[in-house]
Amino acid sequence: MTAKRIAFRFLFLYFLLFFLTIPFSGIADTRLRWWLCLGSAILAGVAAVVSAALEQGRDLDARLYPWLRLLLRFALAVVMISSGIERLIPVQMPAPGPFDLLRRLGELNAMGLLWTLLGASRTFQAFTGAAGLAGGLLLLAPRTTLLGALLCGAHLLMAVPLSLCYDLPFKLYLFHLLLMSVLLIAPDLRRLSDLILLNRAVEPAMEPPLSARGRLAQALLVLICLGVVGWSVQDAARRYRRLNPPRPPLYGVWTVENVAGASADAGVRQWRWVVFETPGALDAVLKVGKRQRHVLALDLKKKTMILDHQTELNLSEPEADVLVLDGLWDGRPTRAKLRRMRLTTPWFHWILRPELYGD
Amino acid sequence: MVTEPREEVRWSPATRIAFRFFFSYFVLLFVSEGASGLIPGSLVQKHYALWLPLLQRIAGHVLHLEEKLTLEEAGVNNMAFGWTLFLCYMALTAVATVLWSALDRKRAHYERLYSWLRLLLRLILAPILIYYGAIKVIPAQMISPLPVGVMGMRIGDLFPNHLLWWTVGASSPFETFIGTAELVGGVLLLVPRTVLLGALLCAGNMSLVLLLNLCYDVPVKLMSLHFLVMALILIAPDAPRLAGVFFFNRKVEPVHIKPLFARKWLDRAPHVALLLFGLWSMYGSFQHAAAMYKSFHPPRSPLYGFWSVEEIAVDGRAVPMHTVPDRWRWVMILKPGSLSVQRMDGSWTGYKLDLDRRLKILRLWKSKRNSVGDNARSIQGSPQAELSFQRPDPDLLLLEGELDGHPARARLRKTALASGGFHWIAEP
Repeated sequence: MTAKRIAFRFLFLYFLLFFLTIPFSGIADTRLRWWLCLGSAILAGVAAVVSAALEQGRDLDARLYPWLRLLLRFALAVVMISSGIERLIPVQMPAPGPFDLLRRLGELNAMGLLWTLLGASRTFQAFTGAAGLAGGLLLLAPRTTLLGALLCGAHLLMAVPLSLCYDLPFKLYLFHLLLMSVLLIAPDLRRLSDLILLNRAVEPAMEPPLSARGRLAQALLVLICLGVVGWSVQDAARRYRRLNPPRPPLYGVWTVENVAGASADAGVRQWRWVVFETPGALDAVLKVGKRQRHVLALDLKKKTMILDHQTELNLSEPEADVLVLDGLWDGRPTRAKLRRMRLTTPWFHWILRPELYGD
Repeated sequence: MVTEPREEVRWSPATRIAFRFFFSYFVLLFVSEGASGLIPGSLVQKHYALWLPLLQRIAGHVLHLEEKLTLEEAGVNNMAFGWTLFLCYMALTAVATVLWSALDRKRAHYERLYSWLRLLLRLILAPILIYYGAIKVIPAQMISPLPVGVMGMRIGDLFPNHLLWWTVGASSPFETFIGTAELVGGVLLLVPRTVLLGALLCAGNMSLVLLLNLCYDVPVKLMSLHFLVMALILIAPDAPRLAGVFFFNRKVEPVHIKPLFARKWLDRAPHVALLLFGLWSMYGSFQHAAAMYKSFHPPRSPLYGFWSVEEIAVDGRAVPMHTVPDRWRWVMILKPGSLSVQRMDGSWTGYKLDLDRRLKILRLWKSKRNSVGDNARSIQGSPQAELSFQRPDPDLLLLEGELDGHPARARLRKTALASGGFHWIAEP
């Protein structure tokens, strides 16, 4: 009994300290964060042992228990809601930009690779956000807390191994969130096993009712969470607009497939890729790896482009994702065929075309 | 099969129609795909050969598909053949459902037949989950660690599904983790008591897989949808209980799944047979996974890696990065005995590599194309390069010696993904 009491008080104090110290340290696994966690654990441990020894016989825990649940529910809810919205409106992992596409897989670190993957599909990122958000919102009502905690738990059961395997810098934080989901689920473990494993009758949950003050706090916390929803949506929308400015026409990376006609020392002969990212500019990535910026005047109506105020080229798109430039380059008729880089072309195929996956 | 209608049980008309539909469909699918190997493959192929002319006509004249349908791609899959066959099966199933509903209007429920459908779905689902679990637990499905050739590819040149593949492959512990989730789901389906837990796990897994398949264009969309639907059918009788606990906080009663046979020992036999079949397929899956793993991991050179040439100096003068087209940019070392160099302009040169680990010397001979397997002869003559090497740490390779007749020095660093790393502490 005493052990249970100590454990309970420890958890209560530890998680209170865990969240109270976050504003000072942030959520990343910094040295400070580790020390704060260790300090909180020692402090909470000592306080739990001492208070349990002093207050024997008093019924403090029964009164505190609803508050621990309230703390866990709403701390987890705020995190899941705000990070869920950050992915539902996909800003957590920005889509890889044109120059990111030119990097080699081996140049990225594991986290960079994971972020590139999740950034590459907004739909998938939005889905993971929706799942997290749903888990967080379900935590707001006492009745759906169990389902919310299960959903958050499943979500974090994926996030924690990802953080360990792809070296994300918030392992400690995610692990604590998982622990909180587990603590929220724990009182219902018997009901869950009756429901899912043993096929027995399951009684309704018998949670001790909240005191009047508890209900007031809960109502306030729900309001705060709704505020978090509003603020996160507004913040994510602002970041989304900043991350996704209007794109110039032809946006993306084009691989130079072949160049015909130009003299051997013409600039176009040195092109390996062409990038349209900044309005009014064409960035050529040369064969030697250097970038070279050209001033671009693009007229899509007339299908022409003028480079550096002198070279005028005609544009044509003989097939999807292929761009042909032709005109006079240094006085010689020149024709360059460009193909849009694969990852930036629309990629959904109902029917598998083996040649698409051949290599 | 005898069904004893209990007065109190009556399925709604919609449930009965849905049951007839799914029962017909999955029996049709099970039999046509070879009944988990019980029907010989040659017979299955003959069956598809019968379908082929009809499918070709439908694909060409009704669906206006450009793709040619061939027997090599037969089956319900994501190819043109698979989609057309799927549509035909759907049509057949719809007809069967209408006929069955018309002839069997008075029936109150299909409880016993549903129990057989459960057995069938478990028989289809469990070995598949176990197989896909096993080839991830032993990280063979997404080759891990990543082949060095993959690390040299540019992100933009990847197909989205390859990006997904290689991201998973970049971490073998993660691949093992997701494989374990699939494997456990499959194994739980083998035991009657844990079917619900297994089906819930499987439904969670499969919704994620389906979404990944749709978002990253992985060509097994149709199959993952099937698996999700199968799991949901297994969960269906428990749905009111789950909703009662998770949404309404009500008291819920146990669910009654009708036994397959009235006699207890007879009822138990198919379940035991399924369990044995599942365990046997697990054995086969792990054997296959181990063979796959072995074939994907041929012997490696001690200098294995995708190395970035950070600095190179020839004749005592440093050659800067973005100026000279034939400056070395990347060095790729895979199997023992060979080394490839990519130059600044993107061109590759292959070399035969002779590594003397005792004297710490490597010698390179330019390999001619199409002379694979001709190692002995190509190593004759004087080498193009003779360099001493040092590895002050595993990610760093220092070369010094003679390159194409000139004194040369180079510093190579292993790329990030290849060197990996795990950091408990993240300092900015």
